[in-house]
Amino acid sequence: MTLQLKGGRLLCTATGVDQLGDLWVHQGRICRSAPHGVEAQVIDCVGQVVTPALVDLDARLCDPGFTWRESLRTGGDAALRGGFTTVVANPETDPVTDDPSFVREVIARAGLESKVEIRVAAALTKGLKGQELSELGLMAEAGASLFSNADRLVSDSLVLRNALLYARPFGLPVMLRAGDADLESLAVMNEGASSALAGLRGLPAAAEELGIARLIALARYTGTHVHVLGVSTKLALDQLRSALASDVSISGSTTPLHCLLNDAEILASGYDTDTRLMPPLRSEEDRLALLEGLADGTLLGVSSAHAPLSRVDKELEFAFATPGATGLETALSTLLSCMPLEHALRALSAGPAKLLALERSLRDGAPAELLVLDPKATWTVEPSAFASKSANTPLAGRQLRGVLSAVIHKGQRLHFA
Amino acid sequence: MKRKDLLGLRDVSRDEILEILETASRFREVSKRRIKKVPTLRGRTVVTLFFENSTRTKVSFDLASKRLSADGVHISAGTSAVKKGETLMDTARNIDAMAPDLVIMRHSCAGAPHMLARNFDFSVINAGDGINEHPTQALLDMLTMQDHLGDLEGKTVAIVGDVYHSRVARSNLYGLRTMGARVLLAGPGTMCRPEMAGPGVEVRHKVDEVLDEADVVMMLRIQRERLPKAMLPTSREYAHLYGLDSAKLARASDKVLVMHPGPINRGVELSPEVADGERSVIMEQVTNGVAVRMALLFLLLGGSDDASA
Repeated sequence: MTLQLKGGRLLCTATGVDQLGDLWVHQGRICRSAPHGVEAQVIDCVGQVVTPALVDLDARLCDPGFTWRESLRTGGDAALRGGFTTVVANPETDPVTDDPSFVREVIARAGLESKVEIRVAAALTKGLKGQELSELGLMAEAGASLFSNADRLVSDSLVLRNALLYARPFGLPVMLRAGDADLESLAVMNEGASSALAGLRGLPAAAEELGIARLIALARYTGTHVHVLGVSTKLALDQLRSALASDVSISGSTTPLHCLLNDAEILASGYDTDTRLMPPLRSEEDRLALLEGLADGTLLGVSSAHAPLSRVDKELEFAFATPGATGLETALSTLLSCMPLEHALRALSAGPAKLLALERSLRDGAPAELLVLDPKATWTVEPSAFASKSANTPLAGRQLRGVLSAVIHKGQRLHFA
Repeated sequence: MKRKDLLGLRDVSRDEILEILETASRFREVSKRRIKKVPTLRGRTVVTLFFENSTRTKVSFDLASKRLSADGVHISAGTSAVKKGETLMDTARNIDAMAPDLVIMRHSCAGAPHMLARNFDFSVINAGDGINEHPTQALLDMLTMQDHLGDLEGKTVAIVGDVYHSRVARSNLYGLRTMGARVLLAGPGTMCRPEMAGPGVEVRHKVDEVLDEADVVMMLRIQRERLPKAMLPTSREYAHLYGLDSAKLARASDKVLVMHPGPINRGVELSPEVADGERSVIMEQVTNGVAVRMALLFLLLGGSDDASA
């Protein structure tokens, strides 16, 4: 089926294209001019934006093992609703995705069960425990796209150094969170005026700054590309900025909720456990710095940090609730509600695609992975209507901007679940 | 009073605090009678749901509800289904199914009473949530201060000790600020943090640095058995820098009030002669606790207009 996307604003942050016009999808590729001798089905895009589809680096799809929270099928549906056609599944499954056979299984089942492409981040260490190396080489051969230690810290610097050295020849980036296990041990929210007010034990920004300093030092020393997930503080961002200036092979991303909300949300929501995240929501100063980091390119982008959790995990005292929120269905709209359109698209498409060495552009001949989007239309977040199996989001009831009218994956228009 | 719950003093107005203290003053008389009971809350059900140990707060609430003729039931985490793995919400749903009017709750996690208040129709009184708030303690503290000092506007109250991890300090801070008092905070660097400063609240360091200006010195309990690691080197050093003894007390006004939420570590935060000395109003605090809690039960449950009949 050939498609003609007619009369939209063609916007591509990878190539800098921004013009009104038509675009064709033929044999899974983008054509900037009408292909000869074929009848095209027309999609009216007048008043809408036509842009490359989104790519996510870090979504917990919970399958196998935690399928009451999410599955490859529902996670794929949630991704589609959010405009993602490629999602990297986080290795925090049960069993942990730390064995080549598990990598193969997830890829194979995802091909059957998910409407969008699901890739696999393989666990950097066995069981994500930060003690022994996983079979990184075999997992790379099995089709893993990245290595990741999910949101678990590798506290032993010797293990981390060796894991990075060992990973390097396989050519895949290593995704890690920056933190400090000792400082995190009692903390449940960002430390500062808000935690003093809420009477909750705080996690200082310094924990992330210590963590990122360590990751920068080891990335510089080993030469392995490190991608820092969940950058959330101003000073961690400053460290990342200066590391990039001295050509360290490193990159970083933050999460949609850290771009929109700050730590005052916890008290304002009456200790709603859906506001409990890891890293925690930070101060307004940090939030503004993250927006600046996305604007100036210090951050490669934003990952959904999709963490579906059930009532069993969230209907608890704040300190006992599991941190995390769903993100796939709300990521784009969250960003469109707090930053310019171009920044949001770069953060969710061109940036993450670059880390995965994927092409996401409107170039003639590029893979036909596309969105048709009204960035100004608004909708109200209703978790009960999510395609995800889980409803944990601090955005419930909030009005966000950005409504999708079409998603095209592998040259086909997909229909929302 | 219009509110359903008392979760903390953070958002309680000056008029509400005055109403509570005024009602408590009137209820004090009941505890002085030979027959210490009024029928005000007859037929109302009050549940105390305690997930942390307590002696004085529990007894104080129990006596308050008994003296108002409410039916009281006590649940402590050790004897309930919580030990069998039931969640707080499930425990609360079960209690709710038995139609209580008011639940008094103590829990180690900040925000736990807020969760119950948000989800159920019964009234909730926070009897201490983690390091967040302990509003009834602050109200009885303010009643005690008011007895001696009159209007708290412009008075200076020093709070000394583990301010950062103290729910007593936090509730007093909010309440005193609302009443127009000036608050001085002091304590070790791990326990008294600059971010607690704000309008009307100053952060100092040693106990010596707050004594000369204070109308009230509130000494907090050091809970050595519950401190996270590396908070404090020794009790000896604590007593030297942050504890109050008669020599240090001599720097203060001779009218200064010495308060403590109890139980006291004699020789750590308070020397025995100060704890039991003439400036100490610690036992008055305990007496006022019953009256304040009677007032709150009465106001939240909307008892008859004639409070102490």
